[in-house]
Parts: sequence; C-alpha cells; structure tokens
Amino acid sequence: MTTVQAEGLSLRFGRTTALKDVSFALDDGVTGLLGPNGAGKTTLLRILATAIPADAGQLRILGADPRGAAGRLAVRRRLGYLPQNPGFHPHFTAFEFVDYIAILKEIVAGRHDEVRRVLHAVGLDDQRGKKIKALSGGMRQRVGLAAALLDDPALVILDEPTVGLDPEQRLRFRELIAHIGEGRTVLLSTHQTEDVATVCQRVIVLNQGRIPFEGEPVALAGVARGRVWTSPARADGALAAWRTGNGDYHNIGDPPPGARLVDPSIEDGYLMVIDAASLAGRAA
Amino acid sequence: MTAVVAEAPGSPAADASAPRRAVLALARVEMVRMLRHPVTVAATLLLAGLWVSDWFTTKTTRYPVLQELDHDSAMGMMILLGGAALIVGNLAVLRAHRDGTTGLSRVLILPDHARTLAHLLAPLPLAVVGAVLILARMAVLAICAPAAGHPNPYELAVGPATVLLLGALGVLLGRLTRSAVVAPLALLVLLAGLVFLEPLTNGGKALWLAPQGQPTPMMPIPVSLLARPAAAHLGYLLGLAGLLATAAVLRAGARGVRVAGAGAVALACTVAGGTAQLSPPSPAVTAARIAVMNQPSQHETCQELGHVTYCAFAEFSRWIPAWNTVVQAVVARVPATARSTQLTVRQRIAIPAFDRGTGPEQLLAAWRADDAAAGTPGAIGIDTSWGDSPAAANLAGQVAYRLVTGQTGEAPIEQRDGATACGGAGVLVVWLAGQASTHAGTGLGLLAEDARDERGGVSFYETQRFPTVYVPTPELTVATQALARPRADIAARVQQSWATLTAPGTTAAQAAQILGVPAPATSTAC
Repeated sequence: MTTVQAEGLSLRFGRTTALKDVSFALDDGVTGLLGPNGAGKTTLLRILATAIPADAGQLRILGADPRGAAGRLAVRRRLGYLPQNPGFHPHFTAFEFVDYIAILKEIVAGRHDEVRRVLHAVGLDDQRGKKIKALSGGMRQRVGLAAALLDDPALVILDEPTVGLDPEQRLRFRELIAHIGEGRTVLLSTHQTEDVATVCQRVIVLNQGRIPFEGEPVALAGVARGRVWTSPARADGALAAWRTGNGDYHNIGDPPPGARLVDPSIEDGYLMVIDAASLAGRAA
Repeated sequence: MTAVVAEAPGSPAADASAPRRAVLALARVEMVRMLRHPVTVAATLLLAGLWVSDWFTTKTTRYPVLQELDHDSAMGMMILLGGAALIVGNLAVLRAHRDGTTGLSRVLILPDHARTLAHLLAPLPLAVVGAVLILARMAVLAICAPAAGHPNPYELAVGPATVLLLGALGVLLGRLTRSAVVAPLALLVLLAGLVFLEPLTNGGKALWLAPQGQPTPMMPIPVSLLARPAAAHLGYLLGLAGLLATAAVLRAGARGVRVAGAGAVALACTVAGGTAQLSPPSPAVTAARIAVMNQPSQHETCQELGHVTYCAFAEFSRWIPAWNTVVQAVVARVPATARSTQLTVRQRIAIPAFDRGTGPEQLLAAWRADDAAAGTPGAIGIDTSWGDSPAAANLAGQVAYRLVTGQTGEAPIEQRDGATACGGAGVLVVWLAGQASTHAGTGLGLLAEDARDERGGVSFYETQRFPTVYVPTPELTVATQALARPRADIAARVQQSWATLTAPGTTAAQAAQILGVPAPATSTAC
C-alpha cells in the first residue's frame, strides 16, 4: 500500500507561496527530499507530520485523511517525526526524554521496555542515564531519532537530521537510517546529496515550492549525463564549476565540443535540476 | 554504535484507557520533577529549617499554643511550598516552549488539555509533603515542647490546599502567557497582598477572602472560643483551586460535560465556602467568649502546688509546673512569717473584640467579682502566653508584691496604672522578681526598658493589658544594683531586715543602705 499519496498540495504564508501543486507518493524504503534553503522542504514535512494543514490539495497518509481530527490522530499514532532543530529538555536524561515523548504518544503498556528498545536501536544503551545537556550533538540527534522510532511507526519523517554532525557521526547516522528504512517508509529531508546517494531508494527534489524531479537517485544523476566535464581551467558558460583535488575543474552545463565528459554524480544532477527549475521559475 | 534496529515488541494498540493512563503517567513524571526541582527542594528545606529553628527559639521565648501555630504553619507553607508549586508548575507548562520542543510535541497524541490535567495533578505530592511537615511539626511541639491546646485539622489542611491553589495558578498562567516571568511576579503580588491586605482591611473578615485568612487573635485563647471558619475557608480555597484548574483545561481546549460539571462544583465550593467563612460567630460562641472572659473561674480547673493555687483553662494546665517554679523561687526568699499570705494564680483572657461593649474597667470589675465568687479574692492574673522572659517577670513581680505588702496589687479601678510600690517595699518587689530566675531577670530588664520612655520605673502586668503593680525609678535603681550583687548576700540581708524593708516608712535610700548598695540620686514621694 502506498504510505503517502499527495495530490496538488499547496500552501501560502501571506504573499509567499511555500508549496504549489505538489504531488508525489511514498512507499516503503527511504526517500530523500532534496532542496535548497527556502525550497519548502520543512513546510512539506510539517504538513505530512500533521503539524499544519495544506491550503489545497488531497493528502492521504497511511490511508487516513489528516484534515479531520480523527484522521490526524490516526496518522499521529503511526508517525515518527524528528523535526529540524527538534529541541531537547536539557535536564532530562536520554531515557527520561524518550520516556516523556512515549507518554505523550500515549504508549502506556510496556512503555519502559519500548524506551529501552529504541535507545538500544540508536546505540544509546550506555548513554541513557546521561543528561541531554551532557550529550554531543550527534548523540542528541540519536535521542531524537529514538523518540521518532517509538511505537514502531509506519512512517518516519526526518527533517535534516544530519545537519551539524561531524563526518563520522553523519556516516553512522546514515547507517542507522538505512536500517530504519527496512520495512517502513522514511522521508529524509537533507541538504546532503551524499545522504541520498548512500541510503535513499528514491529522491524528491523540491525547489521554490515545486517538485522538479522525482525518481531514483541514479536517475537524478542521469539528468546530468553528458553535461559534466573536466578541464584544466574554469570553462566559460558552465552553470557551476569548482576545482577538484587533482587540480582540474569540474564543470556542469553545456560542454564545449571535445570536452572531457565524466560520469555525473547525484550532486551534478541535483544542481542541473535546481538550476533548470530556477531558470524556469525566473522565466515564469 | 550499533545500527541494528531491534524488532519492536509489537505495536501497542490504542485502547480506550490509554489517554487516562497516559495522563496519570505524565502526572507521575511531573510530580517527581516538581519534587526534585531545586526551587522546591530549597523551599522545603527552608520551611523545615524555619520550623526547626522556631522550635529551638520557642523553647526559650514562648511556649507553643497549637491552635495558634496551625494557622501560622499554613502561612509559611503557602509562601514557600505554594510559591514553589506556582513557579515550578508554571515552568513545567512552559517547558516545551522554553526548550524548543513544540515542533515535536504538537504532533504527539496526548491532547493539550490532558497534558494540562497532568500538570494540575503534579503539585499533589508537594501538598502531601506539606501536610507531613505540618503534622510532624505539631507532633514534635505536642510531644517535646510544653505545648498547649490542639490544632484544628481543617486549619492544618489550609497550607496544603494553598499549595494546590498556587500550583493551579502556575499552570493557568502558563496556559495564558508564555513568559516565565509572570509566575514569579504573581508570587510577588501575592506577598505584597500579605503585607498590605491586613492594614487595608483593618484585620477584618474580608481577610478570609485571601488565601491566608484572618490572623488568630493576639492572645491565644481556648480552642472552643476560636470559632475560626477553617472548614469553610478550606472549601473556599479548594473551590478556587478547582476554578483555576477548570480555566486552565478550558484554555487548553477541553470542552464537554465533565469540564462544565467540574467547574460548577468548584464554583459552588468557592461561593459556599466564601460566604460561610464571612458569617459572624454563632450567638452561642459569642456568649461563651464573653462568659469565659468575664468569669474565668467557671471554666477553669485548679490545682494546688506548694501552698499556691493555680487555676488554668484545661488545655493550658501543662504550664502550671512552669508557673510554680517562678512563684516558688519568689516565695523561697521570703521569711516564713511572710508566707502565710494565700496565693492564687488565675489564668485570664482579655480580647476586646469579644465584647466591644465592655471597657477595661468593667472587665477588671468582672474579674474581681469572679474572684470573690470563686473564693479566691485578689487572685494574681496570668494570661495565655508563657515562656518569654517578660511573662516570668510579670508573674514574679505580682507574687512578690503580694508577699511584700500583703495586698493584691489591685489599685482602685480608676487608677489604670496599678498600685505603686514605694520605698523599701518597692525595692524588695523588684529584687524578688528579678532573682526568681535568670529568665525573670531578663524579663525585668525588658519591662523596665518598655517603661523608660514613659515615666520610668517598671510595671508588672496581668494579661499584658493591665498593669497591676508599678515600682518607680529610684526603687528600681536600688533593686537593680542589688541584683548585681551576690544573691546569697542580698538574700541574707533581706531575711534579716524583712520587717524594716517592708515597713511603710522605709525609703529607697534606707533600703539601699540595708542592702549595701549606693543610694539613689532621687527619691519617690508616695
């Protein structure tokens, strides 16, 4: 069954269009949500998490319509949500915080066992008695992820969980998310194309409130096929170019004749999609 | 770190009792957090510390009267534990906002009004802690200290009720505004109310509308005469707490018959309790107060110790041995020939508010008539406060005057300052009073200090209102010097020269010569 089915979702904040006619579907597995700052990612995730309603469009999450109170409650019972900058109660221990969230999720039977289970799942067995203010940023994110995993949710929404983590923590977090995505639907909002490349089976690119791309990560990379080349100097006309470790320039755009084409990455595809969408948006 | 996601033990299905159980679970968490909060711990320790230090102080100042201390306990508890409940309860409601977890908490299942209900339940253990502290204080005072009377259970419950009331106020404020400053400000307003409300209301019945209620009378009185509407006040406070709680859950989005019902019950309690507590005492209580004040002998039991009769209201009779110690210390310095005077010490109360139609003269006349009718004319008056040094000096001075002059110390009723003891008799009265005990000596100094700004000398009072014996400054000076000399030496001179010292014509200067101390610079014309 499709976990999330969105048709024509739109939302405005005053004169600002946050989302415009957004349609997509989510199934089991990890889906990455890529987009620049201000693209509407967090707004979309908050709609899916039932924190705010859309102005227009149809949305069904786990078979329920979140516009009504009963549907919203049904969604929330099967939802795990890690907001961007989730905030923690610094004087709580990791166990106390997750236990507190468990209560607010109305988990009453075997609550402490469930809290221990999710803390074990995120690798915080040894840290559960530590106050949150004494935990590192990565550990705090894992506490938040543990809270999101309470009650074995069918849909997990993670809003930029890897922001602020050091490379090792990010790698471990990716590993964790990959495992969480087995048998459930995970929507992972991120700035990091590497996150998408490593753990996501599908990717949605959101830009200026619209979805210019939805598909597999490989397909996103494929968008840039034939449009990425290297050169000893910055190429004129490249949409983007940067110097790589070996001294050559990595260019994206319309390659000149005879250019040394290379295999595109997801990042290249993403940049192509974003740039094309931006150009289209400006033209519109 | 392991990245292996353990299998969930099966998704707990939502059942009908889950919200209620979640509320109770959340309330348990909030209860523990409130009890562990530094503000609560500090307030509890401070309250207990104040009471412990008060106990040590009381032992050397005033003997405790439990029907007075029950109200006093409620006041301290309201300020400290109630203040803690107000602030900590408010912080708990604002926690998600302060810590930035609203993004997550708003999509969790337990509705806001259920969370508010849990916050409202959180101060319950703190109220229980308060009740335990009060009971412990009363038990310690009743067992270890020479306490009089007994506490009113409703009065004891007022303190814990104020904890619930202020806890509910903290939750409501948290629901009304997100500022954490508002609750401490509300506490400051409450404290200001404590300070200014009493003078503003002239200590009247309107004070019952405030959480602390009306203060107890200045002088302790028997429990049966207090007639404080403690039960009604308790109902009023709990009703108010219920109203605040209802407002808080309504603000959090609760609706329905149960909320309306709870609000109606709370309103009924508030109105009924508030009205009942403002009612005047029953005619029977008023009549009993007047009767006990004017004819104490009919409401007291008497016992004789060392040829002295002591009459006290039943709940104060534990103090008789302490009175006797002071009296016997005076009697012991008097030659055997002067001990034939029959001494009676009678407890009296004098509360003007009990009978506004009776002035001091009428009250003194009533006491004399009562003493005569009881066969104890000229009984020495003592009130319902004991343990402080002036009380000991007052009793010792009155007893000394009786033994020295053979008179009662009752001046004509028109002479409001009491009888004057001049010359050698006056010197003897002060010396006998001052040597009765270290405590009485200290009290003598305090009484003299009180009189210094008026006419000097020293007055000995009964019931703190009526001076019965006055000793002028020259006699006081001689006696004070004698008190500074070795007691045995002065006692021997007193025994040898008793007749001379007590003779009406003996001046203070002559008394000084007999006692071997410098003569006073001035003399008293009596």
